[in-house]
Amino acid sequence: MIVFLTGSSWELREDLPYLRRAVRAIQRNEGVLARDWIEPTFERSEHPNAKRQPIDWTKVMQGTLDAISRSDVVIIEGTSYRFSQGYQVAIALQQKKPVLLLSRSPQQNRSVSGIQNKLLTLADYQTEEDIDKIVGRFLRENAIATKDLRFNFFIDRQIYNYLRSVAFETGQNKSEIIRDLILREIHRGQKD
Amino acid sequence: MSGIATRVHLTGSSRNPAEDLPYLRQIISTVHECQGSIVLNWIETAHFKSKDSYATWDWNDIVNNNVDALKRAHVVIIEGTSHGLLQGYQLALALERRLPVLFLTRESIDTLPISGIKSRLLLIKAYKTTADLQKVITKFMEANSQAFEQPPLSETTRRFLKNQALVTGQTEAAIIDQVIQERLGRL
Repeated sequence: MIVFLTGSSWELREDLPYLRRAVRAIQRNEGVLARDWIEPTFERSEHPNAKRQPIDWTKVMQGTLDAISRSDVVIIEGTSYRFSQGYQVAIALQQKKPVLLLSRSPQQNRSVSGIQNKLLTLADYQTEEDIDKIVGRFLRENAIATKDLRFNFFIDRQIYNYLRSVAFETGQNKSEIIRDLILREIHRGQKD
Repeated sequence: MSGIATRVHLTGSSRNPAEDLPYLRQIISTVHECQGSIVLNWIETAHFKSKDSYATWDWNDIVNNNVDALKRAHVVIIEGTSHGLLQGYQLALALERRLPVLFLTRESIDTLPISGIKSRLLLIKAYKTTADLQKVITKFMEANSQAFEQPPLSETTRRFLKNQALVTGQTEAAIIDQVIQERLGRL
């Protein structure tokens, strides 16, 4: 499983032990990091000239978006509750990726608790041991064998036109219409 | 010229209400001066409620109201000085819906990760004073005005636009713009 682990580079010093622990938990659960940014970023931030070196945010953002696209699941260390973390949550959810948002401060009373999406898991932690448990459980729950699968398939113009018009009439998206048709067929088969 | 008032979804963080409030009020007043309307007027309520603990806030309601407002808006303005997670979340939703977004901050832009997001729909501007804000917002509102010379469209074209607007959630103006951009080979 490809995992994109992300966090804030602004609070890297405080978050580092927890991010390192999360990396180990991912590896122990046979996950592979989509982007190995933590140690290089930390090394750079510890460099005496770090503050004078401008960060190429275009490159960082492109790397982040590519990593989200490549990954099966996304884990965000979100204690600092940054703008870019909210952006990444939305991008990952738009791509139907399960997202785990970790925080050392309670998320129940924060705006993120109002985002209703079954792919989004919020988890508060206090210790590095908590990280092991939370990350392990999240990866097991979203292992390929237990999660929804996706594949591409081709349709002709007639089917496409039908889907488009039903989507317009019902407000469902095309995938939902196809899923409903298949489920109806399954139920019909079970009744016969 | 005809058209409708440009509907603006204004969002910002409730983290620093005392600091942000004068600027948020200035944004609203400038939007009104530009004949625009604010879809969700949350600022005074949030300021009033900011004395209470966040525990008493109904975040489901707040997030739903913001997402609904975003769906109804023609453009989005984000006051992003306080770096809220929900503002980042809304930026991605707005860009997905192909809405023009103005991101405002009192910090230096170069130090912000958002400067790495490349989208022709996203305009990032730093400001220091309410006068700066007025200038930036007026320009943004003029550029995204929904008032347009009514083109002589056929009934078929009008129906197509209406259907596309319903299906995609975009404004009719945004669909026309997209078609023209594609024709120009810029997408």
